[in-house]
Amino acid sequence: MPDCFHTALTEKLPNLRRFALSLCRTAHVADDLVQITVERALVARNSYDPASRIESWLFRILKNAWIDMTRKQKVRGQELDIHDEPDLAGQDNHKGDTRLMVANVLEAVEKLPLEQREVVVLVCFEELSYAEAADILEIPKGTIMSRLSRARTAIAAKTGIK
Amino acid sequence: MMDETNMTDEIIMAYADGQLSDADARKVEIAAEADETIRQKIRMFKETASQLKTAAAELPPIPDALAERISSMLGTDGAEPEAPGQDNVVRFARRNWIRQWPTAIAASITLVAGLAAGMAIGPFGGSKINPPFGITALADPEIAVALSSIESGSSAVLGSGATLNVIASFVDADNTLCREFDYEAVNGPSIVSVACHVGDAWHPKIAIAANTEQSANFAPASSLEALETWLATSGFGDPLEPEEEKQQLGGLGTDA
Repeated sequence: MPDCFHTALTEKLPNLRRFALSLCRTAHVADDLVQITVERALVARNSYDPASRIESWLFRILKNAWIDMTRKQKVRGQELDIHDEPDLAGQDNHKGDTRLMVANVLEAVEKLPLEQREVVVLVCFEELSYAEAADILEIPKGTIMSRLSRARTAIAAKTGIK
Repeated sequence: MMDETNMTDEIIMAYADGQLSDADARKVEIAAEADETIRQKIRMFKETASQLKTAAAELPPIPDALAERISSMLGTDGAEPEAPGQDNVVRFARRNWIRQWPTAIAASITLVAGLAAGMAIGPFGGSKINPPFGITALADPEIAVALSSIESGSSAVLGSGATLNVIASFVDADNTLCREFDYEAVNGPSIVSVACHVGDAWHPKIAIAANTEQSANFAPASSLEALETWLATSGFGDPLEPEEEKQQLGGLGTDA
């Protein structure tokens, strides 16, 4: 019988990595963050509340792992420009206008300050509610809304969305 | 940023995202009817949400090296295979019960395994003359009724006053439903058994019986380890999850 917890965890790996990349912008650091998240999730699996979304729980673990990393100053100065990071710059199989718009939007997201970028990823990419994002990032819901509205106003300005 | 109607960008965005209450959403709509700026912002926030959703549709692939590291971690994870969204009562109940069981009964253990086919619990098989295992208690027809109906982790008090605790359900290699249970007679033996449902009857496959007539107040752990070993080597998978068990019981029909 397959371990359903393992299955759910594995299914969320791409989402975890995208969130990790939005935080650190560096592929190998993002991979480390994902690995640490999985390690901590396995150890703490009994603390997971099955009534809640597993991605919310995993994102919170990852965010805390990132805070731990930055506190230890292990990753300072390692941020890369988006153009050196193919994972977030979009894949080559996008076509025409859609590809261009996706690339523009992703680039605009990458240029946001971290505090706005992480909110955009959780709410607009992962489709979490404002309240869920506030819980994961441990900031007030009002702050989530403020950061998100500023971020989307900036994205609209940079991509020509009116 | 505020507009002329004191609608903040945050409120307008929340409206565009569908995260306002009906009453607050109505306030935004009323304000928007009279203010092109608000209408423009609603369009902008909806469009950014749409574009971001499109951009998010294609997740970056997981690098092979990371996938291998994660796979290795999961492969060595020794935790119990339990579904995150489901109750783990079946697995827990079995182990927990076995821990509790020895304290109340005596040391006289009879282990019967590899029973011949055709010996069924209750009146549903061919053992109406000779009770299963030679233990009269398992001839109680209500045992079969309970085994066909109650979920693992729960108990039934039978008409005789005996208690039947259903510990876990399994399926064997042939997808036959088998159930581990504990039978506590009012006066007489306590029996831990595994019975499988074949041909509209429950057939015991193993029983560990202990009587209460002797003075010792514990059973050797080895007797229960024998049961665990038998379970592990008899082709059973892990205990069924509650939903799986429910389906299996539902498939038994009305034969009790």
